[in-house]
Amino acid sequence: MAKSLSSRLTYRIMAVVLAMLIVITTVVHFFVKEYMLDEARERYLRVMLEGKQEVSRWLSDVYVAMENNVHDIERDIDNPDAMLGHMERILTQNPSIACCALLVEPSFYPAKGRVFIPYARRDTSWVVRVAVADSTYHSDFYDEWFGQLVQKEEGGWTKAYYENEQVAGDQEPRLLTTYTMPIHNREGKPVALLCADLSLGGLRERILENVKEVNDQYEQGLRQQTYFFIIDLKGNYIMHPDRQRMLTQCDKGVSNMMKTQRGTCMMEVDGVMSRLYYRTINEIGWVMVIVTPEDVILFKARRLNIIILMVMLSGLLAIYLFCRHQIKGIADPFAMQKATLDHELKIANGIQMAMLPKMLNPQEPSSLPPLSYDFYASLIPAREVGGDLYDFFLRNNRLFFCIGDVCGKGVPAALMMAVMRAMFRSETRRSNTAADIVNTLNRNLSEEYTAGYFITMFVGVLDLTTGLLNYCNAGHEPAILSGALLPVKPNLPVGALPDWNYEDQHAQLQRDDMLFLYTDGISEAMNTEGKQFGRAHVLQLVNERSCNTSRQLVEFMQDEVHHYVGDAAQSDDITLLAIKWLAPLSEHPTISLLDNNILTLKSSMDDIAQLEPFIANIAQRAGMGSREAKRLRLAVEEAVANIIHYGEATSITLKAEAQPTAPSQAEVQTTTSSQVGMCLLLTIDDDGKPFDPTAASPTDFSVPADQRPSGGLGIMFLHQMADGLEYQRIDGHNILRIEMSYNHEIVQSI
Amino acid sequence: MLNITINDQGEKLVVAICGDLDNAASSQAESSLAPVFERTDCDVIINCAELNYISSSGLRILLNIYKHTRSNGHQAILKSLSEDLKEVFQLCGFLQLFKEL
Repeated sequence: MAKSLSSRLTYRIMAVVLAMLIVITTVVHFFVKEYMLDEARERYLRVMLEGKQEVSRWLSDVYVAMENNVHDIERDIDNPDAMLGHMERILTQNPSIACCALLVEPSFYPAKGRVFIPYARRDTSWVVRVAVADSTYHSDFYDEWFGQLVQKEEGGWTKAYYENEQVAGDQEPRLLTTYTMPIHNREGKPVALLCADLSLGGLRERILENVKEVNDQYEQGLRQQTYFFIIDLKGNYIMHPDRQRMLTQCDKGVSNMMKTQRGTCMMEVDGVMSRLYYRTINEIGWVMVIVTPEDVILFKARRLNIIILMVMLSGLLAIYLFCRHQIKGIADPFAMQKATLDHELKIANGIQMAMLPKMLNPQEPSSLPPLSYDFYASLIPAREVGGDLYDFFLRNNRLFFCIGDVCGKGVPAALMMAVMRAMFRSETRRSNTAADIVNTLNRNLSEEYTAGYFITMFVGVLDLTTGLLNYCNAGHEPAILSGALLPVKPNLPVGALPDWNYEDQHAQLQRDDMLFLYTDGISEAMNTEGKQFGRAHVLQLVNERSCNTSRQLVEFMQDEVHHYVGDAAQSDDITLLAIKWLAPLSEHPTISLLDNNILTLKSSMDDIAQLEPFIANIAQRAGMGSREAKRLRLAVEEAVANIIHYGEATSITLKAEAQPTAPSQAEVQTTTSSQVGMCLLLTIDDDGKPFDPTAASPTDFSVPADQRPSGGLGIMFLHQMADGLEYQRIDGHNILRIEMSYNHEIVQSI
Repeated sequence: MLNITINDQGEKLVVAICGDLDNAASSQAESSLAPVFERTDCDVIINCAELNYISSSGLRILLNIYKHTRSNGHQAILKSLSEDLKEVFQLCGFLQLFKEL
């Protein structure tokens, strides 16, 4: 079963809402990310500014201490023993300095030997110790330094280096950078170098304290992933959390970015996609870099995204539940109404199809004597119910038939179809010509239905004895008789004008002639290209294909239309009807009434005696039982006596015919193989005064028989005995048809 | 073929009608039944055992017999009516007029 309307609606709404949520989330994520990146950049540049200021302060502390003490040392340059005191004082006064030494020109003081280096340094417990290094103390280093630096007129910073292990003693060797300043003698010649060591480790600790303060506010629990390093002018690490990297060359990419004063860049550092914020420390040419993994910066953005997503999904769920509930309440009654309507239409279809006469299957073996006609019709509605109709009815050895098409489609057309079919049925029992039937239908329809409905119809009455077709076409598709269009008068459809006079037309059918009728559902059937089947095509096909039976023709045309239309939807009801006139029934060997079936009497009581043997002979040959024979005799005798008594006719002619009645579906199922329903038709023709016994006023049976006016008894018997009565006045003759039904025993010939 | 015999039994007159009482035979029947209308002092029993067929003209004759006997204070009685004829009598209301044996 297909999904219900409410489910489909809900899913569509959900799809739209979901798409909206995806767009919103994407946009929000984009802007939040941008905002986070901006914010991180501002923050880290500020952190680096602090770091830079810290570095600058330390550097300037050392520089100022040097400048302040250089005069004191130059003043006491001739007194080597005063130097240790100077060293101790400098170190004590400046906590920034890790170690302070004076490198004197070799052999400057003859009393002190070749190497004389007074220095002061702090031990682990921050106590200042003073000493004089002797010749064993890093002599290569001393020569190199002194040689290079004493020549300089100004002070300056050395590149970073690890302190001498001997000096460090049991301490971890510290990474140092040293400020050196030349000391001149009284003649102005540089003779010594004043050195102040700066512990890069100590400086890093101080910077970290600053970074930590800022970082803690933003990256609780994430700080360990963010770190900073500093590289010197040559691109060597001089501060890095990883000691192994100290004094090693940094990546090319990192050193490239030192070209600008400050900025941001993104690169993979140690396998982690990170953002690098950098700033140059101008005084000394170092570059400070903060490395933050992208994940850390965007952590909050992503967390926010997840929260938004969760909220939206809950919203989605809420919308889903709401839709399910609300739409169910609105849509399901609609769906139920539609289902009910569909069901009712299906039933209506069944009822409508049941209204149409059943077609006998000629393939089924039947003991019935062959009919004098071959009739087949089919109706395929475009929707469940349609406005096409066909019907046929056999009376007095005449086949009444019609095909019609109510304007419009669907239920209104179907109701009109039902009305028309009922009217046609009742009219065929009373009227004898096609025009009579159509005129009555037209009057009834125009009077009773004002909605402007009209029906195109073709009504025909085929005399099965003579093959004379009496027809009336009310605006319907022209019928095809044996491959040619039947000439029709231009008549209005039934129901168009109440006082329109429809006239009869006649055509003589020859043995085995086929009459084909159809509704515009076939001529206007469209293929997938929108081209119509066309009337000319119908006529051409009927001519091309010679079909033996009406069923073959109908089914052949059905197949053709079906093939032509292909996948295009059927736009209108399609009804097809074919009648083939085989032969007069009297040729049938079981009922031979061809000879001696006519009696002519003079209108005199003298001749009435001839009636009894004639009727007895006819009844016997037609296979009537004695009871039916007596009823027939009574009906005929009363009719003839009436003519003789009152008609003033000169002669009376009687003619008898017999035929099997059109078997209905019910009869086919219940009739035993030895019996068949028959109908005997007796026509009385006289040239007397016009008198219609079918219109005579009925006897008043409430009055006792002896008090009724005399006369009328014969007419009463005529009505009571006959199964069908029909009167026509033609060319000065009264034509009365008396119909008697009876069952005929048939001897089976195997 | 119509054959009518009248058997006078004093208190009642038994009329036997054999054959077909139709239009062709009606004038013959009228003359044959003339003696019935001469008697005014007895009931009339109409024996229909061998009556095969009757038309409206025949029924009219029977109606006259009924009217005649009744005007004299006597009865007209139908005897041995076949099923087929009973239907005809029933249809025209004659079964209610005549007594039946």
